[in-house]
Amino acid sequence: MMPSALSRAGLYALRAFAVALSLCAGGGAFVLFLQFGAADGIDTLDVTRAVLILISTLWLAWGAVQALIGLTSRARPPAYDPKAPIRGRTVVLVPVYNEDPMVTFARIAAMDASLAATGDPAEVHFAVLSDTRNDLIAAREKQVFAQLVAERNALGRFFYRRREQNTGKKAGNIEDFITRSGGAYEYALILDADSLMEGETILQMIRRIEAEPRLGLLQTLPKVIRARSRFGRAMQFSASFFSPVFARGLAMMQGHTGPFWGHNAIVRVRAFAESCGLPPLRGKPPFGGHVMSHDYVEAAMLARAGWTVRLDDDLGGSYEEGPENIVDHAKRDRRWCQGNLQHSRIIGAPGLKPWSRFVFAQGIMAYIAPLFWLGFILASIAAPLLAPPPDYFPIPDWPIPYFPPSEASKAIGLAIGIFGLLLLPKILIAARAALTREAKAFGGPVIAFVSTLAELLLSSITAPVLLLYSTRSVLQVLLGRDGGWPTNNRGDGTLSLKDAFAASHWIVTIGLVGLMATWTFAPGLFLWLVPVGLPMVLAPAILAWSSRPSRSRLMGVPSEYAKPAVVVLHDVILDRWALDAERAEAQEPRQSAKVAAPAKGIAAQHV
Amino acid sequence: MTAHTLPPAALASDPASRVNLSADELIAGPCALPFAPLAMPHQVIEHDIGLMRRLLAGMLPPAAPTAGTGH
Repeated sequence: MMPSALSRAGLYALRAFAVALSLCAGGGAFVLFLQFGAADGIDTLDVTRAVLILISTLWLAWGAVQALIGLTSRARPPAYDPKAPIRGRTVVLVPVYNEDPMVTFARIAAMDASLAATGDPAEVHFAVLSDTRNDLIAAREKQVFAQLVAERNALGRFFYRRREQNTGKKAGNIEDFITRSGGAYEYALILDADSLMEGETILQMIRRIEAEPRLGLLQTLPKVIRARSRFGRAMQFSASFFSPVFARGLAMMQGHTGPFWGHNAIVRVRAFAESCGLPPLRGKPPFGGHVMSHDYVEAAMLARAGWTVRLDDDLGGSYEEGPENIVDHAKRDRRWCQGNLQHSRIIGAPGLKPWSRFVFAQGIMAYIAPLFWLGFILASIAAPLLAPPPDYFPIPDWPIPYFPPSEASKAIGLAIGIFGLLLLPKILIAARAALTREAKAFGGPVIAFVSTLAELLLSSITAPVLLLYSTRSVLQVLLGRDGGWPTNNRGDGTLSLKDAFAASHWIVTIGLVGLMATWTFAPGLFLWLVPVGLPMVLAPAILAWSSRPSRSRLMGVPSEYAKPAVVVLHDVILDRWALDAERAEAQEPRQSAKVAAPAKGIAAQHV
Repeated sequence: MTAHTLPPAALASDPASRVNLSADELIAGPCALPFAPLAMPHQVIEHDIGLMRRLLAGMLPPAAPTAGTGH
């Protein structure tokens, strides 16, 4: 049973409608631009720019249509018994890779305590799957794990394993678990090191997958929590306020081929084992080698094998943390970019469902779309240089000059349309939240609306900077550079101006050169391109400013106004452990100084 | 569900076992992953030959049969 309960015909009709609407928007932009270009005669560059604007608008429209579909319906639970006794055994998999053990294992303790608080006798185990390469952190992992087991009285329920080699990265880590221990469990809840879930949510996920024998994977919509910086809180607000509507649209169109985002999702172990063994792709990275963005591929493999993959966006109590600054966001995006472009090798895999191929195409498009925008901007700057001089006397021997009609209104109409696609979904989401009182959890309708405007402003300022980071990532992958598997930076991400400049001086150069070229060769475009070029020139200041702690009342999210129970549990446990570590360090400074070092920063942040 | 070797639940309520085991002993012993292997066969996730070669193969006429060896 799908939460959206669409018939097969209805599902296909909805997908066709969404694609058709996006094509209409893209086609409209194409025609408008050609009319604009026809004013002084159409040349090759006009057609090129029209094609670029078609592709870019099509992509924007696809996102907007998804939001519009999401606005038309509400997330509803599927038909199942939410109090049914749980029969199967579940393991919660916590893959870690050079993470701070204290923070990560405190999350496990919090989730276990949250499960215990439900009083449900379901058998739920936790397995820490360490791929940590740093021996100091690995030693700390063991020490904190022993503390975790003792505190939660968890012998026989908590397990720890560290791999000698981290072959296959996270996908290989999970595969190693399945091949070694998968037979002991019916279900596996796959988390990231920064995932946190309410016990009740975990139990409902188990009940839902248990109620539907063909359900292979159930994905929740994790909300970002604990953001502190301006950038982090904007992302957190966006994930909490806008994303559920976009996800609703996605859920409406998913059918049996829903998404897997790699964490905060439960799988049927047998289905996963028989469908999701991923061999390395032929050739070397970035396109060959181990599958980086394995989650999309695993979802497609499950669907290919006849299992249902579903996003249940009605389930709350699912959390993750996000990057605190643009540089960390760009680093993560570099990895995702490589993973998504690598899917170009998998999109033609035999037997995939058409929607799975479409999802791969979407992922690829998400990363190459900035290139089309950039191409359009560059072509627009170059256009006046390559355009033939205006011919005011097109008819020989005719004495009166002919002035071609201005088609500026077409360009303005096109710009309004594109801004509409960008802004309208978020404005409509804010309006609906005000009407349905959902905005109350975000500080009330006025604050939620002003927060929406602030988020739009901030995302408009950061968009040109992110556009260049994305473009660089795509070009690096296309040039064959492997981004590797860098450790995620978590915690305080404040950037000094010096660090910000080091990370963005090339963006400043591109912005300056771009603005100067526009001023010189296409002065008529200068004002149009200032909103794009100026943020590039100011990139270091934007990076540093947006990484600073936010003290604004704007962009508040429900988890800030009322901390979820499992987050409170995590705070309490972490504070206690940090205090214990400090005491131990004070008592045995020589012995514990080395291993307690990671805890000090945490204590400073959370106590 | 296949057979597996989870540590006995009694361990959980035995305070002595908690006290006496070091972190390394815990991880090598009762907290080691249960042994319950499950096969995870590798799937076909890409074609044997690339898209361009497949397109070309589709467009070109099939190769003429080779001459026999005369046996």
